[in-house]
Amino acid sequence: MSATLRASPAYTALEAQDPAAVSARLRARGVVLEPEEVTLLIELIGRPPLWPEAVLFGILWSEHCSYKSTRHLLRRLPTEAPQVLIGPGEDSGVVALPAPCEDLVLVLAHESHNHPSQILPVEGAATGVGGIVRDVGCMGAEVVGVLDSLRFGDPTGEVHVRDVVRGVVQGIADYGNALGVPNLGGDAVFAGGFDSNCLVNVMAVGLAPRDGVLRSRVPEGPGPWSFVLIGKPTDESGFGGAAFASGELGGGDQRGAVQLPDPFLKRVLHVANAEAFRRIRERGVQAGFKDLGAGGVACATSELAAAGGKGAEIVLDALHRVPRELPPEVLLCAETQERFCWVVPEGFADEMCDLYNREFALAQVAPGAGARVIGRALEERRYRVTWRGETVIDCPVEAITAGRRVQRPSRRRPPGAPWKRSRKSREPHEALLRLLRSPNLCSREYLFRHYDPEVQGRAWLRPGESDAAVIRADRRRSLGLAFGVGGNPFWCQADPELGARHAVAEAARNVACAGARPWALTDCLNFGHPEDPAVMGDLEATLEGLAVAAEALGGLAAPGHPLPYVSGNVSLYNQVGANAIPPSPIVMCAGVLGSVANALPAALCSSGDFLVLVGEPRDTLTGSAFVREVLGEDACAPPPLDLASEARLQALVVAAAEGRWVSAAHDVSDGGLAVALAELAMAAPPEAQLGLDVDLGALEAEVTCALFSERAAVVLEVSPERAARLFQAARDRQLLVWPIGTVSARPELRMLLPGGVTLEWSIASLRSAAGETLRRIWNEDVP
Amino acid sequence: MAGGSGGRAQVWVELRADDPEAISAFAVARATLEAARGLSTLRRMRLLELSGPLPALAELEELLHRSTRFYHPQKERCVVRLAGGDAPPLAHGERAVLVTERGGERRPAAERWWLHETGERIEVHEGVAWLLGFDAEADADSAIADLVMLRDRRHGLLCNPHSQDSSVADREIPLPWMGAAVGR
Amino acid sequence: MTRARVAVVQFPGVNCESESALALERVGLEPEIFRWTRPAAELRAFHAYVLPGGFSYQDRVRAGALAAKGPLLDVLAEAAESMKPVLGICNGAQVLIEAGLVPGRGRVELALARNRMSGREGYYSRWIYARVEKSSCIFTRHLEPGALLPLPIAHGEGRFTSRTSGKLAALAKAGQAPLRYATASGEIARSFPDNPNGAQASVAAVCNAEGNVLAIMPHPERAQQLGSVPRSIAGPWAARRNSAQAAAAPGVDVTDEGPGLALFAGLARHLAEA
Repeated sequence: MSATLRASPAYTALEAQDPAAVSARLRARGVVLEPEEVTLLIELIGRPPLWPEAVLFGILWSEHCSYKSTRHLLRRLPTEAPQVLIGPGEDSGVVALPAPCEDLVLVLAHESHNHPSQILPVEGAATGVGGIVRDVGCMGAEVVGVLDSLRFGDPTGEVHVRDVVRGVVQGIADYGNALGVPNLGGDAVFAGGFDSNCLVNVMAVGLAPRDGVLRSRVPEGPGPWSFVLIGKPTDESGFGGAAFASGELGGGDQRGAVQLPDPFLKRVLHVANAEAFRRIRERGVQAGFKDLGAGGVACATSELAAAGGKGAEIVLDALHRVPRELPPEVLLCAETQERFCWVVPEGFADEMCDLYNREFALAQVAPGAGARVIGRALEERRYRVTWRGETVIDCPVEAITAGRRVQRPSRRRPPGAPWKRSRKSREPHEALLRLLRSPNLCSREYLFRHYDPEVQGRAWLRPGESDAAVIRADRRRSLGLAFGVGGNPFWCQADPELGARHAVAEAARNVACAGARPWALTDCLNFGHPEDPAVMGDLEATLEGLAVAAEALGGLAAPGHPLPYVSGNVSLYNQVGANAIPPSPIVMCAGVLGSVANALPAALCSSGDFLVLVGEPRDTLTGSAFVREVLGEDACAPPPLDLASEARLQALVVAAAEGRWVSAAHDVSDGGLAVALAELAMAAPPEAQLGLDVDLGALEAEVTCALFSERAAVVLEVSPERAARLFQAARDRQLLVWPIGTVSARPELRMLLPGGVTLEWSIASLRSAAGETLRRIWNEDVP
Repeated sequence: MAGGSGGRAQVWVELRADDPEAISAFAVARATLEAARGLSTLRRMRLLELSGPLPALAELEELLHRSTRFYHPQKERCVVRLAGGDAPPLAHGERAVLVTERGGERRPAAERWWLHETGERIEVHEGVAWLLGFDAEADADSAIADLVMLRDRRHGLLCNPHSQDSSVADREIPLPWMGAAVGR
Repeated sequence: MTRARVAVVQFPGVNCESESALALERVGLEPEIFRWTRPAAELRAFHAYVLPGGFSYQDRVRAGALAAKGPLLDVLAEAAESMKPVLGICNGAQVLIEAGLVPGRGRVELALARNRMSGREGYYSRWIYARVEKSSCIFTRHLEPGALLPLPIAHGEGRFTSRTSGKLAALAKAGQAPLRYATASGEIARSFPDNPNGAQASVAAVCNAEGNVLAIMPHPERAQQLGSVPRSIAGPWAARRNSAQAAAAPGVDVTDEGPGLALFAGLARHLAEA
């Protein structure tokens, strides 16, 4: 789509008098400028743009890069708290850590790679991991984990859905495993609303020395500063990727826009970067560092210059690139993977190149890879690019940073109604098995065994062992970090605001259930067309919900402060034709444990222990998986959520973990108490022969509500001698608390119902119900 | 639609870009193996063989293109042979060696996809074809054996006979090559 | 007394070098990550060698195949001959097998082939039980035969196989298979997932006849801490972890030695004796 572009004006001032026509003509050549942008660009640079300029601004002003439809709405999110060092706006957010790791900071980033993964699942998902890992790495951090939140279509429907499922998981595994970054879990949800538009949200977490965080800008001071491009030789891959992510799917074969990842080269780059970080810190060298993502060299270098309040001059001839002849706008804006850009003092540039070219011999790792000086910073605030002696870009830095804002009309809708009790009844014994067999509640083990959760030796509680994965921050110190996610598309579809509140509460509750204090949030807002007022209305409602919940749940990190959003992403145009995806905020919560010794598994521990339920009353089935999967009824409102009580619930669980009163904790979420109990039992080793004796009488609730309500609650396992303390602590926090049973030495789940009937499932039968579904999705094409 | 292709197709798939695997294998062979002294080029292709009721060439190519289970049009190109007379994508003088994973040649996922798309049951086998070019004066026949079969650090690279099978083609490339010739 | 120096050999693409170095440090050895671009001769200065896990050279041609040919392996082969300890973990094991350092002296007698698993293919990660077998292997000979070590595996090509039938059973009999996959109750694994990759004779690790070179597929360096033994594991290690977690047993701490550190301790013990 680029071969016909010429390094001459993209359009004349005369032509710009009909901006719509120019916009359409540019679009046909792969350059997306909206009509008002056609004239705006002339105003900003003072003349009609050259082709490379039109391409650059088309990318800068794409929704993906500019957040033009949402930036003003995002201000609603709380981003400040004492632990925040760098909030949203850079490649990653940075938060401080408590003792004994005050010298370290936690670096968090969250991105989507939805469109590419729908079209080429393996490469799309792998590139998503590659990109997010670069975002964290370019802050000077060691990347210590990735998570992924996946939303797929209905696996019992079209065969393509299963291809996407398998491909995405393979892509994530291929990249992360080879890179040597552990997979710390995430979640996967299947719903028909994602049939033709899957979501692949990826999150990366890293650690850096507190005094070693690198910024993506030309450092202060006179320099002179050199730009050093490192990594894979620039080619044409992914040319136009940012514009691609900002347009809807469908039409033609779009496979060409996906970039091709190389985790092997990335691994070597990581090792080499770590050595570079060490050297500049040791020597006190000032430096800026940025990864190359959307918009390639042009966006990275112009943003480095602009963020440092300087200009830049880039000499394209100096780029290391593939031998094929490529036009300048492609060299500038292609999204070739596995590249970073340093800004270092001119006198250090050769040493930096030498580190990559000789000490790490990049060219032997990937043909043509290496490090080159490609330009210098200018005191004059202009961004200039030359190619074979000709200027191909020359514009004021202000034009690049000007940003775009588009006011989109929005229309809020009334939230969905709560579920109306129907006459249908279902026998609870079969209902539990049916829930455990359903794609959304079945065991995730088959999936996560594709991933390496252990590399780097930090793993403490892996996916499947706890509600949030736990790692040891430093392998010699006790501090633990926990990571959990939340986001229920059924709930967000029915009531975007309440659904968003639940997403935050669930992510934070997952972290608390692992024994950690919720510390910081990241989010990605996955929505349909911003031109659709209903989509914008949902987006506004979602932001309100995300904000309100975060404001209520920050107290365990800093009393009186919100739980801050430190990084995030907006992904629009997730829609094919008239079908937007369900509103899909996806939230990650990072948590902190003073000691990994306090980490709580979601697995039964010892027979004789008591089981205690703490949380909201079991009084409604609205929004539950029981209603969807067992009764087969349409979506209905999520359960109500009392944020004040939620904060106290999380505080209780954390206090119990820190006091070592409890030995296991599990969030009551999808599938309600019955599924939570089954999961606790299934997570213990079969050889331990543990089971549960439960008496539902204490709950004073109708049987199906008691078993399947999804109102917020937590099940805790506590030894008999510590139970009284737990009860007192719950009452001190005005929480409802019920003793519901004991851990038995018989591998059965036994439940005494209020009427005197006892239900029994062998744990083996629960395991086999929960264990088959994903295996079949992987091994069968026709449901 | 059966019968259009006579029930056999051999698909040669090559990366459009430089193949790092072939580049590395060539560099290591030249640096460490005596038998590689006369080796002048080394290329690698994935070789797929389809057998069963196949459609005519145009439709066959369209099916291969549609799913990335066979090849990846954005990064690979493919050449289809339907009969022994069709030329394989070998350069003049290149010799071909097929390496397969013993017991792991079948591609059931590709077979299931084909069944779903066409309603036909076919078999799909996959292996790797290494294409070796030699200097004019080299004794290719004796060198090939020592390049292919792994014995120790100085002999062999492309096939570990404990888990893989290999087959060196004569001037003609067999069709089919897998199944019949493998395992000798 | 100066600590013995151990090279952690870093080929491009390996990714377990830092935790391998940490395990060595924890048993009192002095690790040094040895980058592939350094002159091979400098490797001679070390007392022992660890080839860590990962994807050396991106598994091009076959996992371990390219690293097995290089000049670093010439020096390692020479070191193995002179009875210096060499431990290859996962990808490192693949390199040793492809280089013929295990089980023989330079002849390639085995392959680490693609996993064969029921209902899945490719890469697979889980914790398994490795049973200690009677062997003169310097890394395990201090352990009680029959003891179970819970260890994680994470690989796509880990199936010990030979075209010579009975080869792996014979190696096991000869004491050259110091670890074999087992069930939680200690019987040799008969099926997936106890045997996670279909290895012949359920062999998880193979050493040379002298016992100084070991190729092991599970990752002992990932099992260095008691508290990180996963919840899916039963038996004495889980019981120890539970009591440490509950702080019920004073003196036991979650950061105490995990099951994997035993192999490194065996190395330290050997080097101290030598």
